[in-house]
Amino acid sequence: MKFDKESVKKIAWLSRIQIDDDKLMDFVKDLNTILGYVQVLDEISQKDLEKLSSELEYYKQNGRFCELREDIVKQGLSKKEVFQNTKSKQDEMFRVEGSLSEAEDNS
Amino acid sequence: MNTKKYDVIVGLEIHVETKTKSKMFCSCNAEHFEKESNSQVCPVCLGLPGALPVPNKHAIELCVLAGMAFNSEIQTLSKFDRKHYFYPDLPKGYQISQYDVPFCVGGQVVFNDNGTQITVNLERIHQEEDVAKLVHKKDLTTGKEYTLIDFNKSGVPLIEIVSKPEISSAKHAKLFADKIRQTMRYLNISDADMEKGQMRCEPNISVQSKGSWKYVDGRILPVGDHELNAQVEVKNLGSISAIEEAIEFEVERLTSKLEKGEQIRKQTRGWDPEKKETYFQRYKETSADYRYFPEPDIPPVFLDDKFISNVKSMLVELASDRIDRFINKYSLSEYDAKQLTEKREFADFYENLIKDEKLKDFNQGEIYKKCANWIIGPIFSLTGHAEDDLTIKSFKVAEVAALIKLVLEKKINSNTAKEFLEKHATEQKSIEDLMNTGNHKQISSHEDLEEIAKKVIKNNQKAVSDYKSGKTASIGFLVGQMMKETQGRAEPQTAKKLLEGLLK
Ligand SMILES: [Zn+2]
Repeated sequence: MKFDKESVKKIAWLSRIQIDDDKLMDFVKDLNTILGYVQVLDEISQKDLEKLSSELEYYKQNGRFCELREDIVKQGLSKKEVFQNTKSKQDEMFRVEGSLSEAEDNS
Repeated sequence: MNTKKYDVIVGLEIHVETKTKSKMFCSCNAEHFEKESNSQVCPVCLGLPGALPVPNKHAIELCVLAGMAFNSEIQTLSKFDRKHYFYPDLPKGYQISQYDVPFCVGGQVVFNDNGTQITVNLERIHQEEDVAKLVHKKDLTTGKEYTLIDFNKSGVPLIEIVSKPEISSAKHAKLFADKIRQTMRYLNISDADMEKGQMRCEPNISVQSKGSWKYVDGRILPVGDHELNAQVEVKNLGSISAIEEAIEFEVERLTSKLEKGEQIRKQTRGWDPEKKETYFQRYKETSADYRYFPEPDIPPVFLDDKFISNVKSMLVELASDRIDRFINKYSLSEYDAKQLTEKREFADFYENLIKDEKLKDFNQGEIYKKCANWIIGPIFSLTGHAEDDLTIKSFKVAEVAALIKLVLEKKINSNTAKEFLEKHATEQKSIEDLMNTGNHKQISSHEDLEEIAKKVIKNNQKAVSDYKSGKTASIGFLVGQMMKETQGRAEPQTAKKLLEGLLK
C-alpha cells in the first residue's frame, strides 16, 4: 500500500492531530518511507511460515500461555505520586482541554 | 411507523461491569462508585509507559460464566487485542479488548413476551476494560471548555454482550436487556445497576423497506439492487425503560426521514431522558479505524479443564428454570412464582423458609402457599419502601418460620403477626421475645370471649339495633370492638360467631 493525501488526512483525524494542508505532502513522503522499511518483509519467502496458521497456533505448539492473576486488591499510588508529573490538576482530577468537539469531524 | 412498509432491525450491545475485587489488568480496587477521585490508580490503569497488564482470573471466570448462562461456545484458547482511539478517557490511546477470538462465541437469550417465547441469538461476549470517568466543565471567565479526569474507573473489568441484529421491536429490546440484567444478578456476575453505570445498553437501530434486505449468518444484506439504510447507535441510556423509549423515538425519526426521501448517515446519538429525545453526537468510526491488533503485552490465555469445571460449578439455576420448578413442585401460580424469582435472594429465602424445621409438621401444600403469601404480601410491602432501608436481608428465615407457625397454631392472629414481623425486621427482635413481652396470645375459647361479647353488646346498643333491623354489616363493627377490648387478641371468626349467636 501507499499513502496519499487522503489517507494521511484520515489518519491525522483518527489520531486527533491537526495537519495544515501545505504540510500534508511532507507527511505523505515520510510515511511512505517508513512503510518502505516494513515492505522489505514482502520479499522474504513465506514458505517456512506456512505451518503456522495463526499466532494462537504458535503458542499452542509451544505451550506457553498467559499467567492469570488472583483477584486480590493492592493499594495503588499515593496522590502525590499520581500527580507528580502534571501541572494540570483540579479537584484531585487531571485537567485537559475540552474534548467534545467531535461532532465537527469530516469522516 | 408504517409497519406495512418498513421493518425495524435492532442489535444490542450491553456492557456490564463485573463484580471483582480488583481491576482487570492491575490490583487496584475495582469498587469505584463515589470513591475519592484518583485514589485507586496505579501505573497500569493510568497508562504510564512500561507498565505491564496481568489479567484477573476471576474476571475471566465471570465472563465465561456469562457465556455459559447463555449457552455460548467457550473459547478455551483466546487472546486480548488493542482497540485504538484517542479520547481523554483512555490514557494508553487504546483499550485492551478482544477482537477475533472472544472468550464466548454465539449463544442465545430467551425471554417471554406475553406467553410467546422469543429467542435472540448472540454474536459474542468478550472481555475488556472500562475507561476513566470524565467531567466536562466550562471556564466561567474565559468561556473555554475543559475536562477533568478521574481514573478510578479506568481498568475495571467490563464484559460486552453483543446480540445479532435479530431484535424486531423496542419492546423486545427492553425484554432482552431485562433478561440480561436478571441473569447477571442471579449469577452474581454484576449488580447490573444501570443508575450506577454498572450496566450500559447501546442499541443500534435501522429501518429498512420491506423486501429490500435479507438476514444471512447474523448479517443484514441488501436484496438485489436495493441499498440498505445506515444504522444509528444510541448511547447514554440510563435505565431499562429508556431503551424502549429511545428505540421508539429513533424508529419514528428514521421513518419520517425515509418518507421525506432524506438520506441517513451512520452516526452515534445520545439520549436525553428529560425531553425523551435522542440527539446527534458524532458520525461513527468503522471497525478498521480502531486498528485492532493482538495485545503484545499479554500472551494468549488458555482456560484448562480445571478452570472450566470451576466456572460450571458457579452456574446456578436461572430464574426461568426456577419459575417452572416453583410452579410444578410447589403448585404456585405463575404470578407468585414470577414474584418470588424476581431476585435470587427472594427465591432462596422462600426455599429456605418452606424447608424450615418448625414448619415440617404442617400440611406441606398449605406451607408452600402460606409462605409464598407471607413473602409476596407482608414482607414485600415492608421492603417496598426505599426510605426505611428494609430489604429481604432484614428478615431471618427461622424467625419468619416461627411466626408462621404461631399463626397456623392460631396462637396469634394475623394482625399481631404482621406487627411482630415489622418489629422483627426494624428492631431485630426475635419472635419469641416479642411473644413474651406483653400479652399477645390469641383468645379463641368460647368461655373467655363470651364475657367480652356481652360487654360489647351492652355498650353498643346503636350497632346492635342496626344489626337487628337487617344491617348485617354492623357485625363487623362489633367484632372490631371486641378486638379493641382484647388489644387485638380475640380470634375474629370465633368472636363473630359468638356475637351472631347472642344477637339471634
Ligand atoms: Zn491500577
